[in-house]
Amino acid sequence: MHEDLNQKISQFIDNELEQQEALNLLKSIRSTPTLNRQYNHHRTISQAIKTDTVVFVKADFATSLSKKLQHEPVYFLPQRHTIKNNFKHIAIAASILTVAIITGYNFNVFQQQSYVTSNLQMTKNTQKDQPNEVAKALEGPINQKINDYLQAHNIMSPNNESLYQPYARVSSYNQK
Amino acid sequence: MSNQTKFSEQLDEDLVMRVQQGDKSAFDLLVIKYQHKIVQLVNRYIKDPSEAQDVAQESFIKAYRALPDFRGEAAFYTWLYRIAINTAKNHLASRRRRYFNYHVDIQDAEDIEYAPQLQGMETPERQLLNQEIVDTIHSTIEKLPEEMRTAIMLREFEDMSYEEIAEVMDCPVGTVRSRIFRARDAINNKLTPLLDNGDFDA
Repeated sequence: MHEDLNQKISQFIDNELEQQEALNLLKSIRSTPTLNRQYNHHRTISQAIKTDTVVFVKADFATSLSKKLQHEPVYFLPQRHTIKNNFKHIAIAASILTVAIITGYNFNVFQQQSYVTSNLQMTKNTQKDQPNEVAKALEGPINQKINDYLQAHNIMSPNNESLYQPYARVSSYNQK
Repeated sequence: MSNQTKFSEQLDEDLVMRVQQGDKSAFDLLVIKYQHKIVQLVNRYIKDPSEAQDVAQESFIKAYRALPDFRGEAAFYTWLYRIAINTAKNHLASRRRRYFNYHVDIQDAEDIEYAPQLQGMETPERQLLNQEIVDTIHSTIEKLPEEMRTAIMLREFEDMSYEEIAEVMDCPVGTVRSRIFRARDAINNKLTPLLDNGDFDA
């Protein structure tokens, strides 16, 4: 048990002890003078190896400081950790919402495009028989410019043919 | 961030939060964790081990008083080191002022100039003891079995983590942990009589 704690002191000095274990070890060091002595020795040795200087720390350094701090106020601050966590949750929720909005928007656009595409496809198939349906499909807001363009060509057309048939007409005009 | 730093900073963060929420005893644990580093740091400025203990304690008291303002933007230890350095510098400045107040004779100018260094000198006995400790440490390390010597040297001189040492030495992390501990234990056994002779030990 004692050997195990001594090994943990060695790990703690190297910052290789996990949080909870380190916390428990610090509590043991505070309450057990022999362990505190071991800890002091290991710290002193470690510093001496690194720096070639030896600086002793009084064995009662922490306890005497604790006595001095007895008259100091006790703090009761709001839980910083909780606020931090709340920020995390808000950030996650905002990210999910943003992704949902973008996905929703993309889905709508896709649906609209596929609606127009299928309509155009259908229009192509039935163009000769039902010319008015082409016009209906082109009435969508996305094709407003195309619509305007085609209308403009219709207006310019010398043969006063029926509206919304110009697509084939313009093509044939170019071909000529 | 390495695992080592992460463990250490997580512990500090937890302890600081406990103090801020009314657990005063958590500050004792922070003191136990950092007392050696702070005393050593302060001693580099003060150059008087006995005085360094008092200044280090003053630094911890200042840190406790300032803890409500600590928001965790920087790591706790860098914040604490800054307080300790400022406290040590202020202490040196006040020591110089005291010296000037009592020794105003212009002929003492040279003494005044060197006063801090003179005041910071350790006693010859202390210097001898320190040298003996350092020599014993080095000679003990030299006599250690090769695996233990390599492990402790990579840890202390190269500041490598257990995982890195395990990779270098081609052995499990548990073996590295054990070798380092046994090396430290061997040094400690050799040094205990000397360390117990240190003025500041119990």
